[in-house]
Amino acid sequence: MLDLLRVNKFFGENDDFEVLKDVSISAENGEFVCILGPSGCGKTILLYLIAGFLKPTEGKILMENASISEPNCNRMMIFQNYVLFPWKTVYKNILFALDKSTLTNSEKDALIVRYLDMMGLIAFRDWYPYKLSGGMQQRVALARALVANPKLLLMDEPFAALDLQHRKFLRKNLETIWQKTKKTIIFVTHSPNEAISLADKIYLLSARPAVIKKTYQIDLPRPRDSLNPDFIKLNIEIEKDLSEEFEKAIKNPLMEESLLHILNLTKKGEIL
Amino acid sequence: MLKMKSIRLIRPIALGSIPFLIILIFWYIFYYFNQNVGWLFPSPIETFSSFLQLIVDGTLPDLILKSLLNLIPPFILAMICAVVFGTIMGINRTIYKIFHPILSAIYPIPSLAWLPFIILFLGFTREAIWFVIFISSFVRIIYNVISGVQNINIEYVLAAKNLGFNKLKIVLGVILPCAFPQIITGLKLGFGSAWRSLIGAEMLVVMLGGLGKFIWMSQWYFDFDKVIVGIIVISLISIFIEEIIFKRLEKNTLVKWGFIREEYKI
Repeated sequence: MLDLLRVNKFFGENDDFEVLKDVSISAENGEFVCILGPSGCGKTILLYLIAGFLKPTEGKILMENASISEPNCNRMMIFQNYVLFPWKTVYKNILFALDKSTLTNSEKDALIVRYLDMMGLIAFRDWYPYKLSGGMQQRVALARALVANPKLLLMDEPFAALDLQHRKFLRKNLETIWQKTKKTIIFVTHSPNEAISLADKIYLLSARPAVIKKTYQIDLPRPRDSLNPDFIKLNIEIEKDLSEEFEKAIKNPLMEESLLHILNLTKKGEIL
Repeated sequence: MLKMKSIRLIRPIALGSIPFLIILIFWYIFYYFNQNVGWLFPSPIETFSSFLQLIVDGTLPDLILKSLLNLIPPFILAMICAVVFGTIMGINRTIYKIFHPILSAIYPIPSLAWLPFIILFLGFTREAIWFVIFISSFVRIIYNVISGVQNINIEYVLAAKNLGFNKLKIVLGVILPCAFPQIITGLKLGFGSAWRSLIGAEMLVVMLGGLGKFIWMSQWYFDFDKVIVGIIVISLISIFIEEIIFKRLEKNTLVKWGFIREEYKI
């Protein structure tokens, strides 16, 4: 359903800052795909490309065989730091996602209440986001994304800023939702453990400029147990591959440049 | 419980009045040692009675009304212009590049310096005063609106685009609320600046003046108690507007949204 065909993404006036090189990725309908890579390798940029926030320098991004040109609620992004609108209550944040929908008000209300219930947030519907814990905020963000009924969920290290308990809980939660709703998910993470727990397929990106270094097909039965010997074996293998790339990234200071810096290199009008 | 609460309310007021009390004491001492020189320095008590009298005979309310009439219309116009134009400049890099240099050029000019020039065109009219107030608040507000808009977290815009908002809705529904803390700062600074320029302008365009004219004229008649009353009233009105309008605005927006905390606790 999603195909990236030899995608290049370069930044800077003369396209001299290479971030993604020759990246080809595909996701089947309902597949859970994890993108794993060392920090600063361009994972977020890759999601921004799929979301349509940025355009590839070369190559094609196809969703259901149609080229992606701009952001669309077919593909919903979940950000690492939630990006809830602080001036809207939980309920209204989710309602924001139904802005374009043609449903009647009572249908919208029923839909929102259903997702609030699914996320265990009913009691917090009239709260402002700043009063919620990080885990709760991410649940609101997830509800906001799901209510728009996307086919593809793009998740950018969604649980990275959370404590371990919350992370485990939300992983499980996400797996259940994924199995129930049959969404296709592209999930970016830097944790091999997280990737193996969730993914059908893992793409390992190299240090910048990122190329696909390896692809792993994960066939372990679900729900996955991180103490399972096969799980552990795979974890060690992926961990080793990832560390190699991390070593490369950390030795080259240029590779540590932040996302914000990279976005500053976007050409005029590319984002707004 | 109730006692605790009242202490918590009274404490900041008590602490905050210490400097005022010190000034009062020094004022009185100064007055005490100068009262036989034949100079017209007023005592705190004389000033206070003069203050009461000016309220009772309607002079002060009338002056305040005149000053507000000079102040409010150009301030509101400046606010609207600065928010609209500042937002456009914050978003569009080309427009920013065109207008930023001229704004930087206007910014350091004391707004009163415009007055002689503007009186040439408009005469000693209310419009002349309005122009000065407009310029002085406009530049301060627009600077803050621009930087507020430019510094918003780009992810909010991306999230809004993802939800399918059009450009107008992104600007009104996402960028402006995000920039709101700095917009309010701009409004506060702009208001302070407008108020200061107003008193100066009223001293020059005397016939339309309120409090500025009052202070200026009282000096000529050696009514120093009135000069002090004028100064105190200016400060009281500013505090009143800060507490009533801006504090309430902040409470209903920034505090409610968690952008700032209500009290500064460490």
